[in-house]
Amino acid sequence: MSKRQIHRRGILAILLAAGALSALAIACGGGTQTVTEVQTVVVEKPITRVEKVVETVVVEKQIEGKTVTVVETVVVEKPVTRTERVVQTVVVEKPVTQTERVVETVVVVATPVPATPVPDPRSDTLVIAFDNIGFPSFVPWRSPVPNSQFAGLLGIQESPLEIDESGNLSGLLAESWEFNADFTELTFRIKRGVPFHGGNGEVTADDFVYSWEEAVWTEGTIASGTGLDKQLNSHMSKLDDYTVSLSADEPRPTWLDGFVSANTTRAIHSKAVLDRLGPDKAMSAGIGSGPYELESFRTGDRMVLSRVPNHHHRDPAYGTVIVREIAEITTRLAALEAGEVDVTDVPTPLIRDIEGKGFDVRGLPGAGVGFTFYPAGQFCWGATFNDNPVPPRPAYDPSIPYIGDCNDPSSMERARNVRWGLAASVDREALVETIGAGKAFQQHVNGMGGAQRQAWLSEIDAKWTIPYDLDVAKKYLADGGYPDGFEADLVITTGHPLAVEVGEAVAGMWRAIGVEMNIETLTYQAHRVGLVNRERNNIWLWARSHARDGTLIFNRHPGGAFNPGFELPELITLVNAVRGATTQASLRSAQEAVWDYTVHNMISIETMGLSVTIAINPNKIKEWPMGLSDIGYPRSLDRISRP
Amino acid sequence: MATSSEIGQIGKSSGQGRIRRITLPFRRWPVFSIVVISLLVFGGLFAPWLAPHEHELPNLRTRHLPPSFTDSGSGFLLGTDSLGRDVLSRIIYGARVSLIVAGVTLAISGTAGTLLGLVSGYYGGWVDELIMRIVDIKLALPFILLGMVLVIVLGRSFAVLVGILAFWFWSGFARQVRGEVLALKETDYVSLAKVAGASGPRILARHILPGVVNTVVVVGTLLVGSVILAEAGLSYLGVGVPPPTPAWGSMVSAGRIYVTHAWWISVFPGIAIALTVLAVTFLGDWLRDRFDPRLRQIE
Amino acid sequence: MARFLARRLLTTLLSLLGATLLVFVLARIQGDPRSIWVDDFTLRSDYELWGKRLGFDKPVYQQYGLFLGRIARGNLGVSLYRSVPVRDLIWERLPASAQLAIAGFLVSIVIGIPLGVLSAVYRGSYWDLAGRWSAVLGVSLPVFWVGIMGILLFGVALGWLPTSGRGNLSHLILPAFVVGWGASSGQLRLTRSAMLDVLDSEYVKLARAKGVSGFLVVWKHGFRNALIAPLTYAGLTFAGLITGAIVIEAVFAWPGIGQLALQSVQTSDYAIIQGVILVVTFFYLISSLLVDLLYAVIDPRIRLGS
Repeated sequence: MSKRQIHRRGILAILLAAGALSALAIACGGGTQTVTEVQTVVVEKPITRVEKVVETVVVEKQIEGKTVTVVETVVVEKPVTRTERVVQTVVVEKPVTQTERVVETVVVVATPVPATPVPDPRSDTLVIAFDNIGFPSFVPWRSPVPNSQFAGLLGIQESPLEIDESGNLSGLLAESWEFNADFTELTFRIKRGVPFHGGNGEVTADDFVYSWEEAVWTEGTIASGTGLDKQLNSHMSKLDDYTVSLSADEPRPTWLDGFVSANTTRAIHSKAVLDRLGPDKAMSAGIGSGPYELESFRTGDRMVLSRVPNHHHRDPAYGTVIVREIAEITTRLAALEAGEVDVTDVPTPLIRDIEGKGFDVRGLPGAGVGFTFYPAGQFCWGATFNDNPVPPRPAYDPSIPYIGDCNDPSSMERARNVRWGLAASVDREALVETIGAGKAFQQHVNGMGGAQRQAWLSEIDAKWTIPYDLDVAKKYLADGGYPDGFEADLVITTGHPLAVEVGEAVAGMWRAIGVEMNIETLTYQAHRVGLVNRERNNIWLWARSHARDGTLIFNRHPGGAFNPGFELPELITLVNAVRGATTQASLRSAQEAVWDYTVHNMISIETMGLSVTIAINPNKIKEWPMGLSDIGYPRSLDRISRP
Repeated sequence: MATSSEIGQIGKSSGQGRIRRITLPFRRWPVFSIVVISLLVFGGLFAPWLAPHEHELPNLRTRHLPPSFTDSGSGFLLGTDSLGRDVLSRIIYGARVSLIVAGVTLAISGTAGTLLGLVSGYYGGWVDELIMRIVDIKLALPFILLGMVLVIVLGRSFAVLVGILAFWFWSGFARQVRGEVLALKETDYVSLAKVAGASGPRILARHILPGVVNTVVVVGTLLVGSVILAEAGLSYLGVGVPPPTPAWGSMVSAGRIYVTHAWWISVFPGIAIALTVLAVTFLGDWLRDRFDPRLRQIE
Repeated sequence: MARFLARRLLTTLLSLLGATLLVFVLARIQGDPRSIWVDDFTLRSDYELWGKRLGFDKPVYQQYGLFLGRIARGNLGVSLYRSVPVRDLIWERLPASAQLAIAGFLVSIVIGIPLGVLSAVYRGSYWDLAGRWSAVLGVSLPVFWVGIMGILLFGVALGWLPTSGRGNLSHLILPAFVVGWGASSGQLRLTRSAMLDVLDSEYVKLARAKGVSGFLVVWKHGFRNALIAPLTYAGLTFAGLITGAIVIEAVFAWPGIGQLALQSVQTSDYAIIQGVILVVTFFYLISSLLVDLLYAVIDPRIRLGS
């Protein structure tokens, strides 16, 4: 029984006592043989569907010196599903003596506690709803956005390492691992006797090497995230059947982070399976070594996973997990309420409502979203990263208020002031209190997570807190040459359910300093193409994932073929320094230097951050210590424990 | 049920006769439609004077206030939306947006469709064939998809939206007008004009066009509702009138997430859409019966 | 007849060709798929290799030719993001779309035709008024709104029907009703006007004069003849229903091709968009060809004339 229910029971007792007292008063005052009494009884019961509430009413009363206990079962006639008061009169009758009868009239006020749908206790199936489950595409080097992300998250395929709730690495397929002195070589020792699904042999060094070399070095691969590995000439080689070594031309101290499950290119595939089925069939087979096996995949509908018996790592609580695709958020929540779905995401403003309906709401550790406004178009880099195919930069136009002339420091300073004016006129507190429903947090520095971020990041956040001050904002604008404001385009990239609200709200705040925004909404993907081609010089809103530990600077290299719309030589130098840092201390100081630069120059205007939250049917899940990840989907299904 | 003595007078029993007497004036004049459309036009024209509150500028501090008839403290008759704006004011301004979207869309598609229909019907031959094939392809294409792709390529703006809707609805006019022209072409006065040596364009403009105007008006009226609903559908798919302009479809769509939390955001604009569509549809039916009984055939 | 058939086939083929051209141009104006694939560290050599694979080194007309050749062989390409063959994706989804379209169509007939007959027979009465109101109400609200309200009422509050997804018959009821209610308005109007014409015709008058009972006149003579128009209209709406249900599929998590297309538009995966547009267009043109042929068989004027 939940705490709240116990509390309600208390109220019930008090009401009953009050009722009994009033009954006593009437009984004593009346002195007739038949006593009529009106009494309020709170009938309380956790209910799921339309059902009748049955409550036993106990009334004690004294009649002519005798205490008579009347016990009657009251059925609330009106079916109720929500917190609802049903008033009805019930006649409670009991012969008190041989000659007289006591007639009681009880007004029953039924306030059923809304409870989560009670699932069939025998059910060994857990149902999770995603907005999109993608297509069966489980071989990362075959496609740029493979479903390997889900394969790792849901425990179909496994990586060398895994990560727990607080961010500690532990071995999954790797038993141990070590770097050489200068972080250019990484050795994995592989766990023995781990079978692939469906009797496809055991995981060996050959599978490690094959998975790495194919993912990174398949000619013309469109798999994303492998460019850096190629550029640093990273190869894996087999030392013996259970030991592999990975090398790179430059130090890669943060390399390990990439080897946790859910990383698209690091899952270990069975070489034997791929050789036998060929990549096309293997793509949809989704064979791995995880605690769940892919049983079926119907696009647009569902993925069905079944538990692998005697798994080497963990024994999952549910025998079957169904991951359903429900694109519409309102429908996902309706399915949750109806008991068809046990787990789904919930938008921040609705957290309280969902909790009020009896569901557990919790944040996904490490997964958060920041609402960031990027003034795009400050393209000052004369080169391209890695000789990337970047066309001329048509969007570079210093006549736009927030874009400076790259060759004129005073113009750059002017544009910087304009951007600061925009940043200082955002009322972050109002955003957090209203759209964030008090569950979000203010954000001042790019890419910083909320709850999960490391302590030293809070210091940086505090250092760069940007106060909301319209006078200061106006002064910035005046220094930037636009004392009366200006007109600009705002592109809200869609995808997050709150993106348009936040975008409109901030645009409204900017009107207070005379900055008028012409709003356009566009899918993120369509906007991205424009950024790759350097065709965007509007301000754009990206509801973007935080890094899992808050230590990400820009999850896109500011000189990359894709970046959010700025290329600044100083920033690129600073970011490269982060990449090359080999000690924890040098890493921190390099990161701090990047933050100092980006906030000072107001490269991105930060507003509000929030955790990705999911609602859970508490009758199905008791504990669920998920691993840390920045991907906003439920994960670590093998760590669920049942109530 | 009718008997053989009531040929052609089905439904004229005495009881129904009384009903008829009561409803007759209403059938003669579509009162409901006139009232709703007058309100719509009035609201659209005088929105700045009628709207009790600001309709575009967000004010987060008044977010999700309930309608004042359920919570007297709120001060907003129909409540406020997710950005704290007055729902009533946005509905009033939304009337203007709906009118403009429907008006401009139908002006463009009606003109283009009528012209193509005239040319197609009058000249026939390969011109007719070509235009009708284009109509075929247009009807065959999944238009919502094309519209979404175009919005993504061209950007989401009022002009693009109206362009897409106009391109969506022209074929209805073209087909209908073509049919009319085929009939009118055979009439005596057109033949006489031909004999008198009038040029094709002159005959079309002077003799045939006046004959199809009624058809165009009826088709246009019947399509107003479709345009408003198409805009709502596109809003749901994220390609409707861009924010913060208050369009009813966008309001319903934006409020749907909060339907169990703040129902008024989406319910009231939904009612506005329903009333408007019902009104214009009944007006269209009435016009059709009145102007051109032959048009009963069209849909 | 043979000439008519040949001509009709030719025009259908031309229309299809027009659709392929349109789809090809659409993909070109959407941009270079490589812009989707590049990330921070993409190498120029890879970029150029992709271009070669996509045939971008050839002149445009040649690219179009290759594209046509591929389509003729039934190859619709692969998803830009997941490399899954588009043909497989559409094939997997078509049954769901067809099921919803058929069910919705049946609902529209069940609502539209009886109401249409009643409102014609009792023209101007409350039957007429009520029928028209209920049908028009079906198209007077945004479908996504009707759908969401239906889910909240029947799925959550009453718990009578599942909220979403495709499964047994109970899953089909809500979405089919939303599709069908919207389409019933057209059916009703068509049935009503066709019925009015028939009731006005000489042979019905004759039948009445001969003393045939009112019931028989309406249902035997009137209804049967009035049915032709709405049924042919049905043939065409049916193809339209397949994509017309995009919004409804999204709301009800119905795994049809509309939902597939919608997600592809949102992610700019235009290999899939191309495929869906082509397949849907193909179905529409074929069904309209069949309707025309059917007409020609029935109506000698078309067969012989013009």
